[in-house]
Amino acid sequence: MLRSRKKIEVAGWIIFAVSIALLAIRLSHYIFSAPVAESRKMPPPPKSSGAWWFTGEPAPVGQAADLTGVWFGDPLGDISKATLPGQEMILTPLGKHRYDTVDHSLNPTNRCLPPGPIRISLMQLPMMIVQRPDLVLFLTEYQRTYRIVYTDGRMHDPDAKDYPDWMGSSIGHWEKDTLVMDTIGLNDRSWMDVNGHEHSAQLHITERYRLSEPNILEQLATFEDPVFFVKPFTTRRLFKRQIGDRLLDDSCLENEKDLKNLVPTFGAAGR
Amino acid sequence: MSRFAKALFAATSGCQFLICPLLAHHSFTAEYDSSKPISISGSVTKVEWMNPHVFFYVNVKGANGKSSNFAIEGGSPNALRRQRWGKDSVRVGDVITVSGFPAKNGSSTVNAVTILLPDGSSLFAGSSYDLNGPKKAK
Repeated sequence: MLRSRKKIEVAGWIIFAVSIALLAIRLSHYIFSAPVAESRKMPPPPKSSGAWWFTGEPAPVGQAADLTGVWFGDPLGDISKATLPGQEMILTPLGKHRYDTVDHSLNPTNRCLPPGPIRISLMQLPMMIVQRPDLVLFLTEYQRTYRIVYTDGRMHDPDAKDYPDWMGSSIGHWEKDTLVMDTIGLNDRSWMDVNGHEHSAQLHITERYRLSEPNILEQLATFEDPVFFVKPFTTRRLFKRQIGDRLLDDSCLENEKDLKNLVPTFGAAGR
Repeated sequence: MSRFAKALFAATSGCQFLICPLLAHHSFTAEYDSSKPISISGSVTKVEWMNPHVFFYVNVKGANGKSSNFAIEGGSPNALRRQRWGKDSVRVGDVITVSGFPAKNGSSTVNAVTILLPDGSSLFAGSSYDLNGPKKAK
């Protein structure tokens, strides 16, 4: 009888000691560790390789290079800063007057109008290239815009200049590993950059795209517009393939709240 | 654009992938005054995680003790997502400190360059503050 009572007593002390130890361990977490603030960043996205179908394999010899994928170039506010040596942009008197007096509150994209084929590539949102034998698509995240480049040998539509539009008429062909594009039929309402370089409906753009490295896309673009530029000029820009990235949703009008706050701001004061 | 404004920007941003403060859908200079950088603190009353720009609304107590509700404009939600900021990064009730530039028209609107969060981290708001040159691809 006494022995069993002793056993119960010992068991009780053991349970008590274990409880104290567990409590001490629990308290030590609060006593000895500094409070850790909850991170407000999202966890890194799962690792992925390739942009969907892109395998990273070089194109077979003699075939067009594989430009498919999501591409992002460094954002740029002044397209004249991307010109090649000896290819500087020289404005005509009209072009200079317009640049010096442009009203930044009238920037077309303030009103969510399309950005045009060149400014779209200067923005901070990426583009995705989809390539087929008969056409190449440039799907651009900003405002869910796109360019269709026909590479099936057709010419521009005969009325392309009679009905100019925001992204223009584009046809292309392959010169070995380089996609050569010709764009006309642009309206004169888009700006070429956020700094306010404008153009006329006579703007003619020739673009050359090639992979300068497996995941680097080089764009050489030549601009001819005798109304705004004294001579043609050529820019060079690089885009990096965004492995594993995809295009996200974008709607300029969804929650547009800037328009009501804009005030006229002219020329250099707006740059 | 003033040197001081550029210095503030350089000190507070550190332009990261896709969060460069430029090339929004609207012209920064036609809306905001880059010569008057400001810093305000207050409690978040509303979060709009939407295109084309995220907006946070903050109650800020003025010198007279009265509170005003400020609209804080950030960058595009896509650009912020690519920087791993999400719709729950700033929450109603958070006390945040915003550095940025005020609207020219006198409205209680601020274009945020950085937002200091309760966890001590600084959310680079990806504002449309226009500065040519700084850039960094992924």
